[in-house]
Amino acid sequence: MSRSDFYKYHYQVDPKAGGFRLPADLNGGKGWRPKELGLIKYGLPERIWKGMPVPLKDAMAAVPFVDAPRFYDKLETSQ
Amino acid sequence: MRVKPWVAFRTDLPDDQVENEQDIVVFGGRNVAVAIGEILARLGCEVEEPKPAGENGWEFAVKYKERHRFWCQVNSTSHPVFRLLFENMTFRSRAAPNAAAYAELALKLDAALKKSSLFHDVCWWSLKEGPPDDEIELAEAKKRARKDRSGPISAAGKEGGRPAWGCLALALYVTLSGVAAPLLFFVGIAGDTLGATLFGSAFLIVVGLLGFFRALDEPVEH
Repeated sequence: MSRSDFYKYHYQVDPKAGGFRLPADLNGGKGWRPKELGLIKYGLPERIWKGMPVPLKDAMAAVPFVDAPRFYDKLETSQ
Repeated sequence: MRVKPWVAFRTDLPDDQVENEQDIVVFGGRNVAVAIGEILARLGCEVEEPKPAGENGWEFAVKYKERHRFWCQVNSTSHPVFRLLFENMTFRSRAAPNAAAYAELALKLDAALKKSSLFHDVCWWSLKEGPPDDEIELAEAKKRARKDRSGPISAAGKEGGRPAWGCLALALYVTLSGVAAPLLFFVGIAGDTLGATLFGSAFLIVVGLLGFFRALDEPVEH
């Protein structure tokens, strides 16, 4: 992910993020400005979904497929 | 009273950002964070050393009157305009004594920043508005500033807001479900065991009441 893509992502998922610093020789020393790019922050549902790490999404997706009774049976027999 | 958590200002402190040929090595703003920390210390706070927070600048924790905790983050888009995010981190931050301490310290900080020779054009912004990015935006905002812009207390405070109706309705539904569960158990309509029903009921009532307080404490801005 490039610095620009990361700043875009950070700005959109973090409700408290504004513009960020850039090295002085970039963008005329004005820093990275979301307003110049016309970026809009995500709403709450999109923020939760897009801000969630992929492993957590994977774990949530796996929950309906977990055979809970068999899992607990195995747990009990192992004890 | 509702405190606006963002403070934007221009500073006379030098730019302390460290860069190599390709990238930023240390983000600027440590000197600003230290200067603000010193101001807060003079206001009677216990202030931690600023810690780097990557592209978010520098952050430090503040303790006021033993039990009130605050968090400050100093960052910038371009020197010399900086932003300070000054947030109340006290447990039950919206409870009256905690909110009053937040407002008190914000007012003191506002006066100290405006008095300091290092900071200029001090303006406070709500979370929704967000702070300005550069000198031009800051100057424009200052020009068209309403009377309440330069202070930390929002005019549309608790009196000016409205309750979060959706949250309130959900809290009411959850609380009433918690009350109804044991009644339905005793009538014989629902529930397996008395223990499980009472546990579920207590859980729903606690969650519902927390939701109630949250919805009433946090009025939605117009």
